[in-house]
Amino acid sequence: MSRAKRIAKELEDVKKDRLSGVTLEMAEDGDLSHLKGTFVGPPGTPYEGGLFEVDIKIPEEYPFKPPIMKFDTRIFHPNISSQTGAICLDILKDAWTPILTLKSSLISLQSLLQSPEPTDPQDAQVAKLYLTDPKKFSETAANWTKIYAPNDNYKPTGKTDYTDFTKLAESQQLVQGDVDECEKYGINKNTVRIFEDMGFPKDKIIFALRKLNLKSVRVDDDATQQKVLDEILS
Amino acid sequence: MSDSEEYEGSYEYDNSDEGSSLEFSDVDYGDDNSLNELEHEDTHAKVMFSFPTSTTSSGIPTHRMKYQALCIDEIQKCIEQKVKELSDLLQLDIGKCLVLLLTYGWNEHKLLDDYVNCKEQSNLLLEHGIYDKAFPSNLNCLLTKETGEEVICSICCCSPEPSEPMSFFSLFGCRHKFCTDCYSHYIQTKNEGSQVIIDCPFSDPKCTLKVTTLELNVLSDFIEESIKQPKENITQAKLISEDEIKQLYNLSSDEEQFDSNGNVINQFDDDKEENEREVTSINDIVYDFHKAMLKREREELDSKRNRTILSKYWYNVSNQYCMTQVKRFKHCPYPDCESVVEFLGFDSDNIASIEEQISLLLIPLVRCGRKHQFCFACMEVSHAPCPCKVVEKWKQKCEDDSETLNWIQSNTKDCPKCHSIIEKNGGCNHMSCTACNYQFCWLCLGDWSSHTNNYRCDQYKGNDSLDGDSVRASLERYMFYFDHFNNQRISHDKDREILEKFESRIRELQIKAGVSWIETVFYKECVTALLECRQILKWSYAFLFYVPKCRGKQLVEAAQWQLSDKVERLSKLFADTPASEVLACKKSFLYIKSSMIVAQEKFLETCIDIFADPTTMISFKRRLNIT
Repeated sequence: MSRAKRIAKELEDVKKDRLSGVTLEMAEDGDLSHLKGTFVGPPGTPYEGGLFEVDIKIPEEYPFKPPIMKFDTRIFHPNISSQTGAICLDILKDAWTPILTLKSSLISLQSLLQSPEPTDPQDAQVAKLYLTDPKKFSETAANWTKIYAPNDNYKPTGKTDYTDFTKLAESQQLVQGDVDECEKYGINKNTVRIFEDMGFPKDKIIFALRKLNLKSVRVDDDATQQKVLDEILS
Repeated sequence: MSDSEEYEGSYEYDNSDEGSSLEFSDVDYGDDNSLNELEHEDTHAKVMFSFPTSTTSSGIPTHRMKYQALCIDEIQKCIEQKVKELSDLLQLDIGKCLVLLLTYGWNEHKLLDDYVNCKEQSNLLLEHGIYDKAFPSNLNCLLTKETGEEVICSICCCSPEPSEPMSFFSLFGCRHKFCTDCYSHYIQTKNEGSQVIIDCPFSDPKCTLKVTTLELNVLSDFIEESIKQPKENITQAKLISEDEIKQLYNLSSDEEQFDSNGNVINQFDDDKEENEREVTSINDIVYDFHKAMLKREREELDSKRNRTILSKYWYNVSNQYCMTQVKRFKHCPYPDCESVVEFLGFDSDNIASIEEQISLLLIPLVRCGRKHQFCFACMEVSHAPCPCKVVEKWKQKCEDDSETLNWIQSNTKDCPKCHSIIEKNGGCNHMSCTACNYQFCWLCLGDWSSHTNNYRCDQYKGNDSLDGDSVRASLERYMFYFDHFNNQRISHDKDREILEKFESRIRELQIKAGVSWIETVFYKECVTALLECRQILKWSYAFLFYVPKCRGKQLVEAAQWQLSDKVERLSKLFADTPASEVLACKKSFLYIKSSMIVAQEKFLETCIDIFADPTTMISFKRRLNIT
């Protein structure tokens, strides 16, 4: 049974490695399909000094299907539901490959805390705060860490400083502002792609679509596509 | 003449399909065979039309659509050819070309553009996950036998035992080796998710090399080699499924025949015993058998698809190909039917698109490889003679009106004078209309003043005085057509239910009588034709509801009556002929069927002819609120 063998090996590997700050244990003795993992909050972020517990359910088809993970510890983060702990991370969905391990997934979660993806949020309200008021966001996240994720083993090396993290949030705010034209005007990306594939520049396409007041065009709707083409070429 | 042959052709096509359903195990998926089969298929391809003739007998053009009924395997052939052409052009392996086409979303022009214009072609290929070297002649180098304990498959964490070497697999030009079990399992998981672009599983850092059909071929062959047992089982199961038919019918089992196939038989025997316990009447057995047949057909198809990871992969690719070209390919909307219909243009130069055809109130009716008829535009089950727009309107009307209608019907009457709809709000029968102040009797709708003190409501003369403008009159008109529509729907469903049961019964008789199954094909044809005509009649009422009064309408009604007469005659023949005499009555079945088909064609033609008069067309469109 390769699945049991693999999970056992993964548990062993994590036990051997004390540096990563990741732990992995069975939730109940003898049940390899339900595990609990923990990792420490990455330094230089509002999550520093916290210990986060993750609930891990291993499906029958593991490692060909990804493990099902959710946070047991409450956490304030754009890609994690503040209510249920559900996680929005590509490697736990489509981007999973059997070569990834539970340890590498936990480390990915750790780095997700370091660099949130507000464009693909799980918790819209948290993401909104992250983009509009990074300072306040950081304060709240730090507060939540103190309350919900206390770590007895944590020895602060000095004053927690997460100005860099806040700066990152501010820069994402800017990038968001000027790059995503499609999102700005609510235009369907796939529609733009149809015309991009024909070799037209994106700004011209968006301009034409806006002029015609179109948000999307169906792939098989030739008549409308022709109209857009006429507009682009005019 | 040639057109009617076309129709016959589509029947023939289906029959041959049915006959070959037992030969699945012979189909080979190797790349070598595909070329020969390609040529073979080309001669087979048949162009079909959405209407039997290019003009009606009175010379009105039908602007029919050209199409081709395909099955998924034929789509695969078509893709294979496309890939082959590209491969000749770019001097690249077939598998790599397929990956390129997939990553470019089948946009060949952009692919060629990029390929020709880029400075370093190997970079472009690498960008799309293709290793830029021709495959070596010995493809087995992808498979290696490893021994040492230091080798480990990082998916299952297994290492080879000292005594027994383990097989490992890697993509061509890729450093990442995994054991063959894990690799094939990985691809199977991707296949189940219908993913067609499959990366090497390695992810740290991400390996972007893509799995190609050549590699899948090597892997599939290897798996098949190592597990020969299941392949034999498939043929065994087929043997029994044939004999099981006889077993079921004779209800006696001669098990000696199957002694050699131990496991499989026992399983089937169990099934049969269960059936015998539960089932009481022969009719139910037959019906269950019919369902079981369909299920088995489905399962056989699935097992053929899932036989190797390569065949499943090709199936996914073919489906993806159709999905990306929604205008050209449409999947048959019937449940469990996998056929595809390819749009081939029109045989008339006057129209260019389906939209244009629909705007002329014509219907692009197509028939998939398994004979299911549906509309290529709205993907509804055949709704001739109604244009799509009528179907939409009619369905909406039925939904909107049915409840209002019920309530109005049961709770209100019209004022005999002004035709306002009146709800009775008290017990007294003396009504006074709030709109026109007319005094009348609720029971007889007569003038209240002519009522003497005692109620004698015998002055009822019927409601023929109602003129066309009143709400009730239009509701009644709608009710009339809706009733007839609904009647036909019910008849259609009932006929289908009974005749499907019957059909298996006929097969039973055919086996008993010892005649070829071809002798019974007529029965199925008659059933299909009858059901289709019922479908046409059903929609004809919705159609007539919207057709304005005109001379053409009378012609349509006359043709409709003709068709309806023939349909009822055939339906009666079905009902009156006991199963045992069906084979003997073949001639009368065929005779009535052919006269019904004539009536059907005539009827559909009159439905098109009616719009030759522009004023009819305009007022019809106005009724539907289209311009």
